[in-house]
Amino acid sequence: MAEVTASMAAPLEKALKAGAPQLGVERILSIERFTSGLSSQSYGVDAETAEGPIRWVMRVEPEHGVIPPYDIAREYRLLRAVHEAGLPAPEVVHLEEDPSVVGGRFILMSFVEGVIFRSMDPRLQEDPELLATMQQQFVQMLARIHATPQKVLPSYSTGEEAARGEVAICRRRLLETELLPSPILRHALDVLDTHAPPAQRICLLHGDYRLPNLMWKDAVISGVLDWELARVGDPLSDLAFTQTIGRGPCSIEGELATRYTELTGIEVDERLMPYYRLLEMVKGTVIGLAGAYDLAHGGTDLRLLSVARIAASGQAIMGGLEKQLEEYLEA
Amino acid sequence: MIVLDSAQILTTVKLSLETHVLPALSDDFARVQVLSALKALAEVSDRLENGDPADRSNLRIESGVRELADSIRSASPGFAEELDAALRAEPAGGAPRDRSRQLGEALWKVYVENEGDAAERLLEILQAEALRTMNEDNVWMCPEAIASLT
Repeated sequence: MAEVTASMAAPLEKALKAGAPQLGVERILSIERFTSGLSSQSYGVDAETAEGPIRWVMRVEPEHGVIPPYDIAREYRLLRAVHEAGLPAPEVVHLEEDPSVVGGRFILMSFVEGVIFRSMDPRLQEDPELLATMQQQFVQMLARIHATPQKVLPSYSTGEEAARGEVAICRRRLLETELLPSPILRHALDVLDTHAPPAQRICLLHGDYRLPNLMWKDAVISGVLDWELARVGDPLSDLAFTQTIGRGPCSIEGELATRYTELTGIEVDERLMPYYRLLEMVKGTVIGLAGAYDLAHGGTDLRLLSVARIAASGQAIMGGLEKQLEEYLEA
Repeated sequence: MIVLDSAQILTTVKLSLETHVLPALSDDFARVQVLSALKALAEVSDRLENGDPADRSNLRIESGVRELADSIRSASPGFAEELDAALRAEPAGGAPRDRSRQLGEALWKVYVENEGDAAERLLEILQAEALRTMNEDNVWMCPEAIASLT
């Protein structure tokens, strides 16, 4: 156990014995920090329990990050709701409200067995059959998410408010974190505000639906992870995310978009997609650029320097997306 | 250490991290932090050698806006005067980023309060500079940091 995580073991063991006796923790064996994840820091926790050895994942609410304000309790409630609805989200087993135990409030959840495929994974390039199977799984799982009822996240009474609400959130985040004026983002936000379309349906959105957030076992999705950007809105938002910020071998477009429509009855209106692609690019860029703000205000994860840079790169295609949107509006 | 200049100190820190720290790290998260730090040190070294990129960016914006103001002065004297005023205004602090912030806000205000071709040309100047800066900045990206997240 690395020194930094070893110091967490004793207080964690004590807190779980006192606050979560149902888990039957006898001893924390090891804590391993995961490198992935940008906001909440995640750890693999191995424990000896009355039932035998077990492995959990612990997600700790960060003090700093790119999408504040953080609320791990909200994530706990949402994960419980989607798990109970039958989605393969990790099963949450404990919410620790005392931030002093490991340096932030945390949730403990089941460890999902499986492997993660990165967007550039060579296995996908070498095995077209595997890729085709995974693409189908990818679409089917998003269709299931969009059909999932939940009462944790606030809903919108009309579809019109959903897109405009997202733009307002982006604008507020930009206002709070913009270190230097961003003329491209400001202009794109004005365009999005002016042309916000009504949603054809309002549903649960994952918000960060991409390959690295899925666990796979025998080419079947065994876990859907990282729900911290989940919200309620137009499903086209999630589709547009797979075509932009989350772009990869499973982007839902063409035949995969047709399959999505077959599964959900939701039309993927190509005239509306430029709007949602622009919205997703703006959202992702604002979140990424907040990394620079975070570092200037006490953040210590130096990866954020590169995240802010790659986010800024997203601005290069916003002009083109605005043009596509204008062409649709004129047509 | 007064006998070393800033560039020498940065180079020494970089070599120390590469030689003594990186090989000893088995924690992937810690490794990617050090790799990111090395990129940041290289960026600071470049600033010491070539000056602050914010300064160069400000100069390009000022030059483009001045040219725009001159080209529209007879047809749109009011708009040209607004541009002149934005260029004349002084930031609260003296650092290049203070100027970037003041200039960016002042010119954005001129853009949103005006319509027509000249306003669009002003937006083009601001957006083109933002893209140029972004492209130049990308050289300091740490690929390992991005790879750990995608």
